[in-house]
Amino acid sequence: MTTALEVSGISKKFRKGFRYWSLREDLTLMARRLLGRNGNNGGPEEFWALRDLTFRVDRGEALGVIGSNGAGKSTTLKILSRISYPNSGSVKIRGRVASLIEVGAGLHPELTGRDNVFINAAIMGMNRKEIENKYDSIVAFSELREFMNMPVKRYSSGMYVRLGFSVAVHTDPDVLLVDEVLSVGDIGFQAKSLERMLSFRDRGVTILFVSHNLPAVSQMCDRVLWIENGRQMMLDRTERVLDAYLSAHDRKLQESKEAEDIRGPDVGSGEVVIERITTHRADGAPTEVFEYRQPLLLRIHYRAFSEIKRPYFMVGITNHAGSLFAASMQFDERCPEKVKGRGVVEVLFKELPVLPGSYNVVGQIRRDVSTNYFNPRNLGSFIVSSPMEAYGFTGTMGLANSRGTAPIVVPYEWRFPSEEA
Amino acid sequence: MTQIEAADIECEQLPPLHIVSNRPTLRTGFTELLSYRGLLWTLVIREVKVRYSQTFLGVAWAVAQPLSLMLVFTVFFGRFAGVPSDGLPYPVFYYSALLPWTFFTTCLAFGVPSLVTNSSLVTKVYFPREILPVAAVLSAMVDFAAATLAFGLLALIFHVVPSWSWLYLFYLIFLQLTLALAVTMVLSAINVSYRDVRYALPLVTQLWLYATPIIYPLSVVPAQYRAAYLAINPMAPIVEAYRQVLAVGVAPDRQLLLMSSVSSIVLLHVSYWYFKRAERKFADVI
Repeated sequence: MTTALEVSGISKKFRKGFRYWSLREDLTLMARRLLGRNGNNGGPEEFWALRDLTFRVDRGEALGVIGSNGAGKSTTLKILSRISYPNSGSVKIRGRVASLIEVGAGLHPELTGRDNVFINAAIMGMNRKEIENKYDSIVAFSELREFMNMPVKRYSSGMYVRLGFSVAVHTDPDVLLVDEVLSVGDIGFQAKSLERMLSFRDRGVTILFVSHNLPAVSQMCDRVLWIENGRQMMLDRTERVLDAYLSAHDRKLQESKEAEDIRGPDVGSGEVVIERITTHRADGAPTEVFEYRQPLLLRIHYRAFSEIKRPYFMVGITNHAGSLFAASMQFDERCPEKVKGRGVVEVLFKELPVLPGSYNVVGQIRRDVSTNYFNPRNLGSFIVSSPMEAYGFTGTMGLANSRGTAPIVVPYEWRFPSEEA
Repeated sequence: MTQIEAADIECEQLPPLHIVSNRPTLRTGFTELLSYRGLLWTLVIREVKVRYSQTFLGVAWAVAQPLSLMLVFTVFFGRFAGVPSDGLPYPVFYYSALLPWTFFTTCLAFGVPSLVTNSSLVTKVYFPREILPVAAVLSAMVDFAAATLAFGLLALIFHVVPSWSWLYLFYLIFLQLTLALAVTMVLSAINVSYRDVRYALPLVTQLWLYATPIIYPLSVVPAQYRAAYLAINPMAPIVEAYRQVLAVGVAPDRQLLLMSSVSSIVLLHVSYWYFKRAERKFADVI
């Protein structure tokens, strides 16, 4: 396999605070340095946005880049796309690079859609002939045919982004750098965009995909690079990195919770609390990435400060749409006779009937109908990542981001009795 | 890195390799600029279209500027103050000098802020950054062409006989382009880090106008200072040559042209070198 992209020890330093300096400040600094005083004293505070980042991407590989906000993901992309330069280290890229860092850069409000397609495509590196050949396809993709002679300033923001994105996906790059652009437009357009990304990947385009959308990352990428504070945390196969990332995330959540008084009033009465909930495969192996209809085993790690009789444990699975399903001892009366000290309660959901996405685990312990030992609280998360084919979804719409769609998919089949007659 | 080099030998139809950390030399910079000429051309057209979209007079504005200045100069400096014009009719005398001058100020007005006004491009897309000031300078050529055509009308009215010397115009255009590119590029780069440039620019152009033989003929500059004056102000030989070529109808002073050519070309090199050096920080500080 040949290397498409080789990043060797790049570091990037920024000045804190000032976006740009006035001449006066620079001159003072320069004068101080000339006079032999320590220039750094009066200088701006500096910080490293990236520190010694090294990785390689093979041709045709899709590498995901994840990390918290401000971890250095966008700085990395900017350096790779030659917008910004590293203070040290080097980057080698083989082939034509297209970066979808922000779509619609360079669209001019005074000009028509048509003019803007030509300008934007030229900015993305297409030549005149290429643009003419692809023009119809770009317009068709944007679904803006009847608006092409209208100045872009009269477009809605959605139309604006669609136009920019349509041009961007018509480039023919060897290396594609993508930064969070899949979240534009309505569901139908998102579906088309994701499909387009996947087709780039299938065509052997090398992809660097920066995203917070973990399901999309896991659907798209072979390997994932995780960076925090400008440093490389982990670079490995997608599910391993996502696992580590999510557990670190939960741990952070947990640590900040432990800082609170665990027996405080918002906890509930607090005689018994849930310290954490971990997610596992049916065989007990810990994981945070699941597939559609795979079993989900939850381990509820509780701590009872005194002997508690018959606490009612409850866990629920939620996502942005709200509560999806739950298991509650109040319904099935299968509660432990007594708990004391630290211990574990397990619950096995026989299958996960949900769309790809990230899900949260909420835990709660009830004393009776009206009082809680432990109030409901978000204690863990996991993601479901399966190709749409696993659901039997083959249509374009099925590729859409699940946002806005009911997240539960119970296996079903259509029947057509009247056609058989 | 050795892997990439080894791969190069194995398989020749691999796409080309870009190396980010290498500092580009002037020559590679220029070859790259050439390979982006499609984008340059597109941006020139965009600039021209945008400049006169939603205006009533459109490209007539390009003529209005030298024309109105010419009228004011003719009335106040010519008729009232009696500034000498070396025997030329005042409108021709002023307009022929205002042609290169207006071109020059248009280049500065649009070219110097070009990187900052297009900051969304600079921070989002890669391309050789000099394309922005260069596009501003080239699009000023459209205005210049319109203003030059208008000189034809003026020549008819004031019975200026077309002359072979007008052919020198092509060389003069090359010269003014070189100088305008040099000044615009370096100032646009400085303007990225120090917005002081934006405020200083109107003042500097105004002072420069008075320091250039536009309102008065070169002959009013005392002979012993003239050489130094022409050397310090690279616009002066160009403006003077325009007057010689268009209004008087004689060949410009060769020595003057040579001096101006050498200084413009040297300036352009220095300016381009500075620009390429500063370019690497544009996206971070803009």
